[in-house]
Amino acid sequence: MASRRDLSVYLLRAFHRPRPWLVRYLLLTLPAVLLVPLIALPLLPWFRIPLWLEALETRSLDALVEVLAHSTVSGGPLLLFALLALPLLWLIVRALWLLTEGGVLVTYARSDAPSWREFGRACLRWFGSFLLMSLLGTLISLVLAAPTLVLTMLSRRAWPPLGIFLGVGGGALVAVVRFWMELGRASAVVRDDRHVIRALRYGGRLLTQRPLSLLGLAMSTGLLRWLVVFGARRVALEIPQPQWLLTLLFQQLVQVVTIWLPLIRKAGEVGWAVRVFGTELTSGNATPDMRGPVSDPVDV
Amino acid sequence: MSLRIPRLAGCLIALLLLGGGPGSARATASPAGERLTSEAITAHAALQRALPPPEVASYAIDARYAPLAHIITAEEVATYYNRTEAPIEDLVLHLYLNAFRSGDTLWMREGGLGHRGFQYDPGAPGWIRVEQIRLEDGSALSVEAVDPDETLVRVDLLEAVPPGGSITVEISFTAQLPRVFARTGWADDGEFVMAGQWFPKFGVWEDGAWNAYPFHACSEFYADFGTYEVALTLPDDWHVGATGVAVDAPIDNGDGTATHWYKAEHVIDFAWSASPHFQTMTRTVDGIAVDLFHYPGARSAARRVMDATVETLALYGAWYGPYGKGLYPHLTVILVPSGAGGAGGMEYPTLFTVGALAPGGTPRCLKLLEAETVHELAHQWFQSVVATNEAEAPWLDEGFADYSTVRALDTLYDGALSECAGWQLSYLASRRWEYVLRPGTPMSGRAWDFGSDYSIATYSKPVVALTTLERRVGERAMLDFLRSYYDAYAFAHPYGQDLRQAMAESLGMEIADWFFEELVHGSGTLDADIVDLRADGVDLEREGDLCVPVEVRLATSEGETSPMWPCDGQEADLDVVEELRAVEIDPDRVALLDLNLVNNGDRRQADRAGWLGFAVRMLRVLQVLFGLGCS
Repeated sequence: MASRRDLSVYLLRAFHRPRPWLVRYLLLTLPAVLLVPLIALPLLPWFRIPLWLEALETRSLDALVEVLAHSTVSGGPLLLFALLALPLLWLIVRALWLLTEGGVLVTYARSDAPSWREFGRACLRWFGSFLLMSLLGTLISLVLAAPTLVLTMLSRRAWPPLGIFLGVGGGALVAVVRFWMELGRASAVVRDDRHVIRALRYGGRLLTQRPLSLLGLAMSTGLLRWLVVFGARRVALEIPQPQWLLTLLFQQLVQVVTIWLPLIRKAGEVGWAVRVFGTELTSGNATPDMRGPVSDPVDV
Repeated sequence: MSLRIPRLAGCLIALLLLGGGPGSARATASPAGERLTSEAITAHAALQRALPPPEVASYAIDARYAPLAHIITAEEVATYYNRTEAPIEDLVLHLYLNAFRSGDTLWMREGGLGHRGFQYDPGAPGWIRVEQIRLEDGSALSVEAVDPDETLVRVDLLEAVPPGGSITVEISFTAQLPRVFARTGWADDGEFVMAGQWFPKFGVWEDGAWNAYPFHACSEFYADFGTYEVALTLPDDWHVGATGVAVDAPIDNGDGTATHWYKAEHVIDFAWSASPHFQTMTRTVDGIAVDLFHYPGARSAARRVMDATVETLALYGAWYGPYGKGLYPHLTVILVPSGAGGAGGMEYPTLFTVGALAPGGTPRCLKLLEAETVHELAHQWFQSVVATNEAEAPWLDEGFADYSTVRALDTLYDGALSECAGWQLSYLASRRWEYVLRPGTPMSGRAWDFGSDYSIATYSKPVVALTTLERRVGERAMLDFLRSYYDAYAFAHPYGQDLRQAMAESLGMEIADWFFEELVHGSGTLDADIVDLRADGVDLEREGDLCVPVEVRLATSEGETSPMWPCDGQEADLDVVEELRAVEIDPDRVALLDLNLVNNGDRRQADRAGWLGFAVRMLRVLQVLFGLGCS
């Protein structure tokens, strides 16, 4: 019972400490808000064309292609700028996302919620290690994925079921590597150890000691996220195009939920790391508060 | 021809090489008579309309196929009945396979050594050779090539065949099938074979002459109705699908071969396919036995083909009339294996092949297999029973088959050719875009005269024209017309003027004249446009020679009205009393021939709410994009 309460404490931090989701929401929304006018304004004249309205309302490629083939866009330079800015902004968001990972994990790892300043310091403190871990994870994934892909393509010709098996297996391996990196980050923060290799070892140890619980946590939050996205898509299709306010509210609600679910997973990972490594961060003190020997793991 | 998904390349023709030389000449043994009048054609067709239809060209073929060498050796007994009033002084036979004997034939020069994306293999050619031809009494006859490639040969007769008479010739022939190319051949290291146009075949005697052309790349076939009795001897572990019905179980010859017997009555052709790897799927629909042959591993695709076949058999039966006019008890479907796509997408009497476009199948959201299936099945009505001349008027069967494809896809799959990722693309739209590329193409003409416009003239424009016709006269009237046309010309060879006559009788002279003058023979185009939209009215303009009367929807502050815009001028001025907000020409999309549908509609003010809705959705899309790779 004590283990259940402990874990739930961490899971609840994902709700009681909203700073991580606010930061993540802004990271995704601000660049999007920047680009939307650049894309939408040049297309305003198209909203006089019934066929264009029909294309959007009915999702008809017939109508869409017809409009694209016969219409001109007045704000071409704006659109072009948006197109060029998109990949650059994506890279910036990706980097900032990784930058904020340290602050997010510290928020859930500490017994008391950090201030904005402490959040920022944690982000900077952990960025270097997490960047290296991310690059290492990518490298390992490529090393695993590339030959798997080749084998998959070759075996599909010889025996399709083998090809499918290899493909699925390869995908699963890459997913496990990513999950291992994530656990490594959580473990590193809990142990307050920025050494990359040691962090990966902690992550591996965490995974091997609590495989079912952690995979269950990952899969349940992942499945929930998929259900939310899939369900939201179906609902959004039913909302008429002109009902823009309803669409905005609904889609941003979905956005909030889809950001929150991975944060719940991270909070859970931090909770499991604390239970396995027996440490918890306290306020303003990077030194872990040792609470004695690690207790035997108790499955929740 | 089989289904062709829109392509820009189409069929290239070397017009300079053709130049009206013997390669393009129609075989005439005697001076070509004047074309019969419409009444005479109708009378002639009436001879063949009686059910069961009288035989004209019948064949008994005993063939042996050697898979390793891809060689057919056969004895053929061919009988031609002279159902006309002109004596026949010679015979003309098609030897289609000789078009594939090298890369230098007329067919190859016109086709550029390719066919629908598949390349000819010069190391595995096809050919056919008449070893001997004699009369029943043993008198030898001689064969003379009509064209340099010997795809057409003439046989002088010792005595003319009088009107009402018949002649039987015995032909020994040898044929080699090519590696699958242009609908026929072998694949899978010889363990799959599709044999089409594989035997010496009579031309069509009409108007006092033989209607038969050397084999052109863009041309298909034309033959008379008759009875086929065919014995096929192959290795005993091979499974066979063929035109007609199996007479009995295969006979084991005790030498590692088995002989399969087939009989097909009231058909214009006989094709067969075989492989030791075939598996069979069988269903019965309204008493019609449907056998589908497919390779292992293609069961999922086969199921889709069978489902589409079964559902569409019922549809076409309801729309046009019974399959085979009730005389065909069986239908064979061949789903060709990967590597044999060149044999897929083709029609023969009571047999059709699919798999040209996607032999391995496609995701369920992409209906290529289904589109191919319903198209080839439609040919069982328009080509196998209403047996038009595919060489001289290819649109008469392909246009109707493709129009049927649009209707079937509309009924079964909401018109979608693709509905992947939530966006729908219709088959009709894809055909319309091809038409819009070269809209001034007439539909009438010989297959090889169209050049790169073949696909537009034969498929795209006819399907758009027939769909426009349907929307103009209404579905009920259209189906009544098609049913009466099918009924009147079943087991006959109607030409364009016969169709025009049938259309005039059913839909009225004005409609028939419009359809034929402006669409079939004409090269006119149409683009309706909104020139000036004001608060008190709108100016409209029609560009091009084509005209279809359409509605114009006017949305005002008080409501909507939809006056007609008739074909009485290129311009129209519509005034309103209330404030005009939006205009849409042809909101029901009757005139699909309109080259530009975008300029058919306009609003005085942009739909701001719609624009905001778009912006909001774009916001979400961008948020998702930025979140990619971030967990």
